[in-house]
Amino acid sequence: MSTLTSLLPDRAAERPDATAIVDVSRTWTWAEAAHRSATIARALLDAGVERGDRVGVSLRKCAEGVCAMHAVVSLGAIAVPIDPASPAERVERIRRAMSIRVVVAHGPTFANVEDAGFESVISADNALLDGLDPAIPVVVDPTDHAYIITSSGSTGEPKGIVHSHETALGYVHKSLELFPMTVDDRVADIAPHHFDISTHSLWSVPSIGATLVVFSEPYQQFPASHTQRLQDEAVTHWYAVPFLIQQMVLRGDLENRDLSALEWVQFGGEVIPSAMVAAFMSHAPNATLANVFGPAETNMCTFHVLETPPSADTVIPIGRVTPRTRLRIIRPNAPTPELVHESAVGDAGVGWVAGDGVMVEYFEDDARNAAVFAEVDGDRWYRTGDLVSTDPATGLLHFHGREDMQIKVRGHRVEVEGIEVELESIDGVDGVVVGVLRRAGGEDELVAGVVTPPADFDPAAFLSIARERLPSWSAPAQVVILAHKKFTGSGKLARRALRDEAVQLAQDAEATTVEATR
Amino acid sequence: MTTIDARLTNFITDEVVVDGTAVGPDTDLLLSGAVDSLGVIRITHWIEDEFGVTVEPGDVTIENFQTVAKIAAFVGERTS
Repeated sequence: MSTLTSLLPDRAAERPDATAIVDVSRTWTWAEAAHRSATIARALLDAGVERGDRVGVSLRKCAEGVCAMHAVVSLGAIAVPIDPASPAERVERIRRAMSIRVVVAHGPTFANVEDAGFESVISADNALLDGLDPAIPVVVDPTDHAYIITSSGSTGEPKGIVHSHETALGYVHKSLELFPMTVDDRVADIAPHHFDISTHSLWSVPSIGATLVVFSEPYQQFPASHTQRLQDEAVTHWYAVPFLIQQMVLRGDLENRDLSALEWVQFGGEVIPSAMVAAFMSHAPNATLANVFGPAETNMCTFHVLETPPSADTVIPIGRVTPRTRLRIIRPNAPTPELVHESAVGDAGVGWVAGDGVMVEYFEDDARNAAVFAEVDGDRWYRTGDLVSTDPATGLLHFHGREDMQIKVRGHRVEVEGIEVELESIDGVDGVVVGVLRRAGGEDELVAGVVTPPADFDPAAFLSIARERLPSWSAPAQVVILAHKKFTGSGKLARRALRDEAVQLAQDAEATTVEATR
Repeated sequence: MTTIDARLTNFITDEVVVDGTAVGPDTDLLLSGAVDSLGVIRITHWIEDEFGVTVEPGDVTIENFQTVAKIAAFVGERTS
């Protein structure tokens, strides 16, 4: 297997009647999934899609979504998954930035794409598709582009993270080596396709022929239903954002669930309080948990397997470098990852990554590509912008947040994300963001925003516990309550927006106080 | 419509739905995107206060919250 083009037909040839996908409403065999994919591909050909074209895929979680992604790559075209919750103007920006003519959509997403200016909209859930003549996968070069993950840069302009068949398979081989899977396994398909975690469901699972169990969006909102589905479908492999683990622990009714089928639980994409992981492990007796780490640009580049539940006062490491991946920790101001620029052991530096899972490029963005890639010592290195260090005692890697999130308070460099993890381990809260209140001519202060706390939440007690646990300069000076949870398109807590909101609330409160005392 | 249905529909329409979706007894609140995670939490708190029922984590399921009719049936069961 050197490309992704014929994964579904290959599995269909081997085991046509075996279960490929368990959707919420029906079950698909490999033969059915391959046929639906090949007929969507036919509809794409009829719409004029050619090898190398970008094709949008805007679908909610469903079996047809998996088939559509495979349909696009089977033609040598490049799939651009689009967040189905995106408003039309965002979809239009992605369409323009990635030059997309044709999009695959369905009932729940037609409204988002119809005003976004596409030339053709293909319906993925149209049963009439089944009457079409199946398209045959084309032969492509492993270096051909396969899919693009879009993310919004600081300006909001979409940037496209381009992966080829080869870099996708680089990830597939690593994931299967570290987290083995057989045809008998049942793998939860949770992450939306525009989020890089879905690489596992989309490409690793059909490489083996295990069964995908689709968790549609409501299963992210209802932890008790999520855990019920894990039990009912005897899910063996689970991979999603840690926020969902936290939700399952807090609201998943785990005391009344049997999760003994779970073998591998991977989480990644954000930091999680150790206590939550430990609590989850106590309800999943046969599961091994792993923290997997890596930006969408590199795929998974480090991993840490938890042999025993982590104690509440430790931070879970990002562990060790994955196979066929190299990582150098480089001083932040150094222009290249040459060894002379390496950080001293134990010091945090910027991670530069080389290996077979690293993206090809940012789509049509020479300036950005020049800024993030460097050829050194025979390797092509990608500068992640993530701050990492090696613990000299254990040799394990730790993550210290994004370089651009670093701030200074009273001359000390503080890491907002680390403080958030610490504060989230305080009893009675499950989401905390930390923002910086900039003061003209004075000391900057940290503001903790507690997200939807319980009714009996006591801000004064929270602050005093925070002061006990954190160095004085990283303890928040004040606390505000955020009445609404916000999520990013990929289901993570929208920390950036919530931090801004916390700072705004603190400023508003001060303005009101000043007004009242006049 | 029962009283519970009507009160729920009013609350969800006035306080929860953000995008102006018209809510009927059998509108799928979850797939239509009319109610997000926060909306579910607010509905939960509201029915606890309004009808004096206790909602356990295990009760907050897709089956119980998918439509106004289903929420009403759940509340009815707990208050009878």
